[in-house]
This record gives sequence, structure tokens and C-alpha cells, in this order.
Amino acid sequence: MPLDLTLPAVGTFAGAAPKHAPTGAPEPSSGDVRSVGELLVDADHHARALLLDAEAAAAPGLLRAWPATVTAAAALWDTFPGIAYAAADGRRLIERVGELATSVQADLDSSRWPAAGHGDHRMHAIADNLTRARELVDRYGAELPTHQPRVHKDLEAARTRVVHALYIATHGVVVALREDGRQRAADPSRVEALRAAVAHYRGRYEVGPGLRWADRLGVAERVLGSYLQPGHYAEALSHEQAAPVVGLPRLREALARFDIQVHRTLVEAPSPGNLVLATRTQGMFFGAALVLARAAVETGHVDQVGVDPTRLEQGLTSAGEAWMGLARRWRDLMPQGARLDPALSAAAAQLRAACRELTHDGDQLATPNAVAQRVDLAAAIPVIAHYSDAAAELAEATRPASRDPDLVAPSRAVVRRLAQDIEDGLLPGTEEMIPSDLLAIAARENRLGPVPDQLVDALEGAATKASSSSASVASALLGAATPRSGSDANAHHVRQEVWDRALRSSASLGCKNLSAGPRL
Amino acid sequence: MATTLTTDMFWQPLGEIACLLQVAADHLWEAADSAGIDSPLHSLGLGSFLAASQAAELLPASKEVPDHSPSEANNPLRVLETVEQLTRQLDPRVAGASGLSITVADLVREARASAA
Repeated sequence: MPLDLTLPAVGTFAGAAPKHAPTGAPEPSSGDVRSVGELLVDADHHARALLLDAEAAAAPGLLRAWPATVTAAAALWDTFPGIAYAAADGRRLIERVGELATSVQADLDSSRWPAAGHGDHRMHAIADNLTRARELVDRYGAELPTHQPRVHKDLEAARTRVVHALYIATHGVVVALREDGRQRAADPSRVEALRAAVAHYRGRYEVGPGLRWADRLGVAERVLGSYLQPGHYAEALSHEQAAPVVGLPRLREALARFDIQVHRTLVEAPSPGNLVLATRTQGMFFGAALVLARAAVETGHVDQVGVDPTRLEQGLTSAGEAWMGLARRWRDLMPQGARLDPALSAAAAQLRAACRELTHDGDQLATPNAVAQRVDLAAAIPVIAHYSDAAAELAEATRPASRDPDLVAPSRAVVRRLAQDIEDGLLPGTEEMIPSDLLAIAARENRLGPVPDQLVDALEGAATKASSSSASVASALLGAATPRSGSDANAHHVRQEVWDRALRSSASLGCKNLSAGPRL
Repeated sequence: MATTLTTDMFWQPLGEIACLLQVAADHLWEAADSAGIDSPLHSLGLGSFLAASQAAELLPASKEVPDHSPSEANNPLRVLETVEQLTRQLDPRVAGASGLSITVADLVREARASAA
């Protein structure tokens, strides 16, 4: 059957495709609690993402949205207090770019290409972030003691970030416009038009409406580049006043985000693929927790909180193995190429990166001393305890998914798992255990079919084991690490408190951390 | 202007990448489960699984990730290096291809360090 691989017409792709759906910048609203610094980092992130995928199809939308983005950036730049400390010629350069944007907007209104339409959502995200930042600066900027060197240097760093985001975004628009021109030049249906145009214009690749716009935006790009003259960007940002979220706060925040997201995903899309991701991530966390715990034992931090080292190591190992066992069973049920919940993937990637930051040195496991230098291990023990408590609840939350009447699995994986369970003595080794029709199907083709009751029972058993072993770790650690946690109810209360605190922290961090992927 | 692609060549490398990243994740997890809960291969396997999802997400809904043949290499490093070669064939019109290439390059570096 022929597949429909038609791409949307140029200019309509970016707005319509789900892969281009807005990913980070919420609408400015009273609910947006991000700081100015976080909004600027998010704007910069969107600009970089735009440049990474500055495809020709998005050129019209990018061009349409560019003037408004420049206007938002110029307005924010102008709103920052302490203008006397700004870079030399800064105001003149920004005004020049603003004038260029006004001129481009006026000509866009009357030009044949690009016709009226939607702007690119990534440019809108940048503009929204900058507008929201301006609202905050408008409201609170007057309170800043701009005469203090650290404050006015921080303000110049913020101005530089604004200009940098705009510079990168403008370059992205220019790249997309030139790519659009190249594709038009390669279109055989336009050969005649090209021949005529080449005779009057500068060259094959210089033909097309997009390229004329690219020339105009190129001027703005050069002006912005002169603001970021070599060395100014790095120099300005080196004085930025920002507390980096690293180490234990990052781990705590990543755990909180993952815990919340995984429960959402289990409600909305409890597919085997998402369950593999959830359970494997849990298992990875217990592995990282074991590395932290060993470092705490070796450096004497475990003694400080009164935990039995042997019990701690055994508990974490059992919990990790139980989660990996549950993950293997869900993997059997996952069809090839299953799509995962992007929000859960992002949360898992964050947790993976946060764990690696503490437990790895480059690409190898860090030594206990190196781990101890990065994180207060005595403070890490309660975090592990509280999250183990959450993991116990999560394991229970996976159980309804295994009783989903629509649950199906690839026949070969089912047969393989049944055979393995018989070999391991988990199931009686009778011939009826693997139905002959299932064997026949598996031998013939890897078809999806209902999951046998034995495997569903085993899945629930594995979830119970993961839950109980996680709860054991939590109870062992919570009793020692937190004096208030005398009962399960109290332990839950403590965890909730930590989670609330982490969420408040993560809310203030905004999209900055959502944007980071599993980079190592 | 609409561009109609009449062959699978446009999406084929992406489908193979998604498939092979899943293969690598399975191999890595198998090795990690044998090595113990604190093995760094758990994290690498998770990274490969997430990258497989990232690649599958770039495919149109009408395209499925191809099934892999059992004869494919059991060495996850070799599989990841094959994936890295495939990322060079990605059509630049696939939005998100650059990010995927970076992710895969990171995984290969991580896998080489683990194998060393």
C-alpha cells in the first residue's frame, strides 16, 4: 500500500505538524512564576532550538513573527534599569535593529510573499518570554540598587542575553530563508522563471523572495553581532548572578518532577512502553542511590544518620533488582517501535542526567571521595528515603495497567517468558502452561495477542515485590534519617512536605530545566 | 509548493535508527541486569531507550518502526556506532534530526568509555 508521505506546502508545515508543537513557553499569565533570568534562559533555548531546525518550510512563519520578536526584545532591553552602565553604543544598536524590524513589518504587510498567515511558534515563544520578562522588570526593576557593581553587571548580563537570543533567532530566520531560496532554485517547475531572474539578479541561489528578505535580516544580524563583539558575551555572562541548580537540589527536583509525571502518564497512557520507561528509570535511580549510599558509608556519613550500612546496601539492591524484574516483564509486553509519552521521556531524561551528575565522573562511575565532594551525603540519605517511599506507591499504581482487558503482547515474547518462568520454577512445568496454539502462532509470526493469565499474575507479583522492597528501604531510612517519621502516615507527611518544597523550587526554575535533555 | 516523496528513502534511516537504538537498549539492559544494580550500563541502556523514543517520535504517525532481525550484532557499542553512521544519512528536512544526532553521538562516547 503506498504511503502518504506528502509534505505540507512551504509555510504551512511548522504550524501544523505535531512535532513542532510548542514545548516550553507557556502563555504569559499570572500563573507564570518564573524569574526574569529564567525567562531569558528559556528565550535563549528556544532561539538555539530554532537554529538547529531552521528548515525552509518554516521560513514564512519565522519571517512573519520576526518583527514582533525584535519589538519585544528592544522593549525589554530598554526597560532594564541602570542604562548608564550598558555596553557602549548599546542603545543605538538596539534602536537600529528596531527600525529595521519596523521597516520589515511595513513591507510584509504589502508583500506577496510570504502572504498573511501564522507566525512560527518558536519565535512566538521567544517573544512571549521577553514580554513576560518586561512585565516583571516594569513592576520590580525600580527596586534594584543599580549603583552596586554586582547589580549593574548582572543587568548588563541580562541585556546581553536578550541580544544574544535575538541574534541567534535572527540568524535562524536568515538560514531558513536562504534554504527556502535554494529549494525553490532546485524546483524544475521554476526553471524558466529562474533563467529569467538569473539574467537580472546576482546568481542562481540569489533568486527568490525569501533571499531578498534574508538580505534585509542579514543587516539586523550584523548589527546584533556587533553588540556581541568578540568577548563581550562571555565577559558579560561571567557576571550573571544566578545560583546554578546542581547536585542534590537538582536530583530532588528531578525526582519530584518524575514522580508527578509518571502518575499522570499512568492515568492517561498506561501503555507497556511507558511502563518500561517508568520502571527502568526507577531501577536506575536505585542503582544511583546505591552508589551514593556506598560513598556515604565509606566517608562515614551513614554513621551520622544512624543507619545500618549492611541493611542499607541490601535494601537498595533488593529494591533495584525488584524494579528491574518488573521492567523486564513489561518489556516483554512492549511492541516494537512503541511511542512513549514525551513528557515522561523528558522527566526520565532529567532524572538520568541528575543521577549521572552525582554518580559519574565523565563516563565512568565516580570514586566515593569524588561523590562526597559533590553532594552532602548525609542530606542525600533522607532524599533517597523519601523517594523510596514514593516508589512503593508507584509500584502499586502500575498494577491496574496489568489488568487492562485490552492489554496485548507479541506472541514470541510471551512464549519466551512463559518458558523462562517454567525454567526458573515460577510456573509449573506442564504442557498446558504454554498453549499449543500460542506456540504455533509464535513459531509462525510475532503477532500481538492477549496476555496469558499466568503472566498477568506474575506481573502483579513483580509489582508487589517492587513495592514492598521500596517500602522496606523507606522505613529503614526514614526511621533513622528523620526523627519525626515514627509512623507510615508521618513518613508520608514528611515526603509530601519535601515534594511540595521541591515543586515550589522547580516551579521557580521554570522551563530552563525542562529544556535540558539527556546530555552527558 | 508541495513536495511529494514517493519512496521510503526519506524515512528509512530514521526507522532503522529507532529500531537499532531499541536493540542497543535491550542488549545494554541485559548486560546491566547481569552485572548488578549499580552497573553504569543501566543508565546507558535508559539513554539508548530514550533516544529510540526520540527517533520514533520524529517519524510520521503512518510510519512504523521496522522490526529487527535476530542476526543483528549483539555488541551494543557496534550497534550504537552503526546508528551514528545512519544519523549522517538523515535528511535535514526532518525536524529534530540534529538533536537526535547529538544524542546518539553522546551515547556512542558513553558506550566507548564503558567498553574501555
